[in-house]
Amino acid sequence: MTTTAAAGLRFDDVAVGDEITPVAIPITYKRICMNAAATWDWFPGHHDPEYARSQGQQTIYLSTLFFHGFIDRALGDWAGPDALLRRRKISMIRSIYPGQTATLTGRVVDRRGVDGKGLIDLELMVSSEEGPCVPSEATLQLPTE
Amino acid sequence: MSTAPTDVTGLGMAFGTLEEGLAWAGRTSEPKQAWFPIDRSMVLYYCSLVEDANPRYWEGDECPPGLLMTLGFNPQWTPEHLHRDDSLFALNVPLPGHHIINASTTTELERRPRVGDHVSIIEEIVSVSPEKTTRIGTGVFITSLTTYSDQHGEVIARNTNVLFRYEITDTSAETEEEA
Repeated sequence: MTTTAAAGLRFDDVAVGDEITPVAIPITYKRICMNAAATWDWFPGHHDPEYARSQGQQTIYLSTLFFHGFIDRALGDWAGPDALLRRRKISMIRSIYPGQTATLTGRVVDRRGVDGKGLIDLELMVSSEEGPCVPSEATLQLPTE
Repeated sequence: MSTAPTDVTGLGMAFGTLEEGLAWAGRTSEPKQAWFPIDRSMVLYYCSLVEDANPRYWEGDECPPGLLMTLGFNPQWTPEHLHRDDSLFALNVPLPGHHIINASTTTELERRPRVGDHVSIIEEIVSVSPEKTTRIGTGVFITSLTTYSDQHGEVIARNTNVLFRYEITDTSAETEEEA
């Protein structure tokens, strides 16, 4: 089942197996330039195509900090603004380039109460047209009342 | 004839032997303070990048946690008397590899970052792996733990980062490398 947040999800609204609402975002040269400027990450693989190709990349590519924000945004879109990110792990296994679309999908794999807090664990994946790119995990704290 | 190592990334990487690099495991940086407190323009530029409409950012005073790593970067240019050479501690690990690529990050959040937080950063080199050959090259994985605290000493978040520092051995690779 896919759930969506109108006013925001509460802990009791969520069950193991629920899927998050997928989010897709087109990746352009402009967005990758914005990526460097907005995050101060001026590693040349993210703004210099010649350097990126010398690394074996197709051209400039999205950075770690883009994926942090993109995943957090998608989780907020799904769960609502009162959801609190407690943990996020991402692994980069394939780059995403201009002309591609980054799409986040995911599902709830556990829900647990810890010290009165309602926590849910999610398995996530950012993919492009070339396949899986950034397998990820997150733990959200949701309102319990 | 030997050639002096060149920092092709422009990020201030240190060079040395594999043995020198391995000896950095366990080292901790001096605390450093971000150049300025988290401000609203940083938050909104970042939200624009990922198209995040969260009202906590656009109409409130909170900061997306994904922006925390930014606070460790230095400006690309400063007047000489303000220059700081303390951007990323992991880049100070002396190693032979000329290239870097990030493999993974794990962020654990104690509280939501806010506009006005003037963040202090301490970085620890948790480990430097033995040399490994991957699809994109031969090098080592540097695992570092960064702790972000506010101006009152309260921890906001901890981030474990795994960076691959390598020399290219396979130019046909098209992907970032998995840790």
